[in-house]
Amino acid sequence: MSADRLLAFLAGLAAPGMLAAQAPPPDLSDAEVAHVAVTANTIDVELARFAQTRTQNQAVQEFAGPMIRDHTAVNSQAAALAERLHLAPADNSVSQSLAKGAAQARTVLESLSGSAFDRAYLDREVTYHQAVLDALNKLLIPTTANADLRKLLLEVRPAVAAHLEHAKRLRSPLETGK
Amino acid sequence: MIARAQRRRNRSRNALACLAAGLLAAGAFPPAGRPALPQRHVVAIRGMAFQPAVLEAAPGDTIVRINRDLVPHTATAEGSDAWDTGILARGDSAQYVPLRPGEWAYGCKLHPTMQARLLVTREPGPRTPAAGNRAY
Repeated sequence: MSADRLLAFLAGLAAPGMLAAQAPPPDLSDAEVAHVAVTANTIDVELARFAQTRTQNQAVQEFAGPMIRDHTAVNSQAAALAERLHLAPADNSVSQSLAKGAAQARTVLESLSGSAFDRAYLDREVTYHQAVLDALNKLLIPTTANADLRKLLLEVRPAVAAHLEHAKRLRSPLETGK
Repeated sequence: MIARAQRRRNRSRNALACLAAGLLAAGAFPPAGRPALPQRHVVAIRGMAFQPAVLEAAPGDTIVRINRDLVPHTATAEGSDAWDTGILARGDSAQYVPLRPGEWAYGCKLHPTMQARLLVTREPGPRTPAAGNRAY
């Protein structure tokens, strides 16, 4: 699978309305799926930690806390499962693409403060969780061969969906200036 | 002689009537259809939801919330400090025994999309203390 095809797929995930036109999902080994899952969780933990140091908004603080706690908990479970399965997570183009996107987002957020930061952080969380949810549904779960890893991903999915909904709820009043 | 035997029978009947009245007053004979002993209800937290989302219980029943999710949760009464499990990691559980009728909306403090209701609607069972609710 070419890096271009992977990037096109992820770009499609991150852009609402583009799913129909995107490239078909790449094939990933279970070791690569595990790496993508760990990378995706780690990215959101790190961004939430940064948000806690930057935001002055109590609701955003209270949102960032569960992001750290939940994604850390998922990574702990993923690490335990990988150890039990003797599965060494393998770096891959999807993980690298996620990491690159996270670095770009972090650069933008570091330049912001106050309500502009809150809006941008929540925008990023909405987009990111939507992309991760789409990746779970269209890429990670369908391509996972191991039943235990697949079960873990299926268990993660409702949490990602709840985070997405939580971020949307917080973002909405900020948008209207309430 | 006959009158004495009649008085003895009357005393026995009166004693039985008093005993029955006492037992009824103590709640030893609950109305038909209601369980005599407090029940145990399990609410599983799974898939970012409380299952069941609406639970009906009686005063004195034990309600167990157990977290079957990957991520931590709480079960916390809304709008009051009536009860709160605190943070439950995966596999953790907490018990709550409501001691008086009431209705509570509750949710997870960490995940505001999670909502559920507890209805404590029936009369106290025989082993239920008179008033108050016990915290976790």
